Amino acid sequence: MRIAGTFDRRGQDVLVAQLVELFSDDKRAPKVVDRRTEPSHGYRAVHVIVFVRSLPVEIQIRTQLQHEWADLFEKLADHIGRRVRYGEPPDHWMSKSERQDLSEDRRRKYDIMYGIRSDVIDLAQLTAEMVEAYERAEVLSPQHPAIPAARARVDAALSNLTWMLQRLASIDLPR
Amino acid sequence: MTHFLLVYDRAAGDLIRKEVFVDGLKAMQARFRAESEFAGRREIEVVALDAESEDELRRTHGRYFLSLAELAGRMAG
Repeated sequence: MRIAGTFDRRGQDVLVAQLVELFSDDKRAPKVVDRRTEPSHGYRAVHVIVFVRSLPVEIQIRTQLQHEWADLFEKLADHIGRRVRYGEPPDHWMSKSERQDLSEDRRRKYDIMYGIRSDVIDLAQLTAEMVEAYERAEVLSPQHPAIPAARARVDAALSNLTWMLQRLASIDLPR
Repeated sequence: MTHFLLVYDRAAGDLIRKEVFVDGLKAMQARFRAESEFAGRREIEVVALDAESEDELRRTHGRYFLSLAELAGRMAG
């Protein structure tokens, strides 16, 4: 189950506490996995594993920004390799022997394109860090005058990442 | 609660099948049939999901429904 809402991190904590309370009467107590303090390659959320008649049910709770980032990263992984979600490099679209057979010019183009794939992952990770920093600041000092500008920068970073993904998806891979 | 069977092509980024069920058991049966149909195709993802409505599912699981351009539009909106 997934809950993505227009709450901030404090609201996220409240929802987590309510879910833990709601499902605390089973033999097995709910388990909270806080992927904000232990992010998984940029992915942040809070997962609550509750037990219904001893069967585990995972509930993912995401703020809107965490959710937007996760959706984008999933789409990125669809394009460049699902294993990037676990910190592995992007997939190659040609085998090693095929790459070795490329002309020098084509191999250079291949390497540039592959490098861009890696760079987009770095951009996604940086964007995740921006989201994290903003969400912490939003809770600590919600009235701080810099908060609206910080939010605008986070939105711009997410838009830039989306633009990069669109470009990646539209470019024919060099062969 | 409405039950959905989605078949998603990761490589193309396209939703290639969507079936809607009132009965959750039937949705699971359809999922197993689809998993059998697409067995061995690693680019195909078969999922059965429950949501209050399709709009709600599109919001929580936009990856299956939205192209990158549509995701960008959702953010801008």
